[in-house]
Amino acid sequence: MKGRYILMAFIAVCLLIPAISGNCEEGGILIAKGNGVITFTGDGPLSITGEGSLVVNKNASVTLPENIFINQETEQYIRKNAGVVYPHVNGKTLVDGEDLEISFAGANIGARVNGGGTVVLKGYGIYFDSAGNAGRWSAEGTTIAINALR
Amino acid sequence: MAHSNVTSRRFCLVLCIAVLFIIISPRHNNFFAASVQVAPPALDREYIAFLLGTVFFLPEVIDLTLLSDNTFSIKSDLFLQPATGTYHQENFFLLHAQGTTGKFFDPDFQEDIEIQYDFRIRPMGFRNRLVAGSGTRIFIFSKDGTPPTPERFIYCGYGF
Repeated sequence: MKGRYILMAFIAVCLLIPAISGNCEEGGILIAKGNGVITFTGDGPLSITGEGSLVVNKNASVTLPENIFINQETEQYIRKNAGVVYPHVNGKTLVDGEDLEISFAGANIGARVNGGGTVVLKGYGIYFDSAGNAGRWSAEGTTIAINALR
Repeated sequence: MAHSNVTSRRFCLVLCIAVLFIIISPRHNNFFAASVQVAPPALDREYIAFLLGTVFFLPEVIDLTLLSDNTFSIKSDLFLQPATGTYHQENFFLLHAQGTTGKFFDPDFQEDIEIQYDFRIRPMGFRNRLVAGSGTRIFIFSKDGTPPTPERFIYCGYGF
């Protein structure tokens, strides 16, 4: 009986270790889709589609989808130090710039990152990179390092 | 007399286990019928991965529908475009299926993609006609930058 518990614990640890630490792959382009939170730090460009809220820092140049405009004005909240929050984004958003800090939380997220930096995928989904790697989002966050193609 | 009964019971038990093992083993055709197509050794690893996957985590919900005319449909909750294809009997317990979604536009990846499925089907419960297993699928992208990428997947569904 004791041996069975040890075996079960060993299998559980083997499965949990990669999920907690996250994968760290390298590639020039990353494409991902899923539900949850996607966080990017680095240099653009990248595009994000989906329904949710977007947070960008001051360095970001943002092109928002047209359908989030209300009364000809974009719904947004400017933080003193943390940049801009777009609480209701639905569609394709383009972000460019250097030293970006971007976070998008929502559903039906699709992301295409052509820049260089680090992406953290938290939730439920799948990703591919230009090195031929496929992987999964995780509840703890899957971290992927991307080298920009120059 | 009692010792003889115990010995014969043990012998019967060992014989039953041996017969069961030979029937279930995907390589049993090597021993008896070389003409029958043999399942690849990778099947064992796939089956173990499937068992562990269904017990501990399910990375994606993929539903399979088998039809009686040797065709199937398989659909994922992440990729809405269903794949269709055909299957054939590989041995007594296994079906081999291959199919594709064809090229379609994925709004999240913002490009045309195609997913090619290749998997084996093993019945899990005869009463409910449940089938489940794991296989390999290849993602083929249209834009430059992302090469064809294989991935293992786990599915479940109903037979006919």
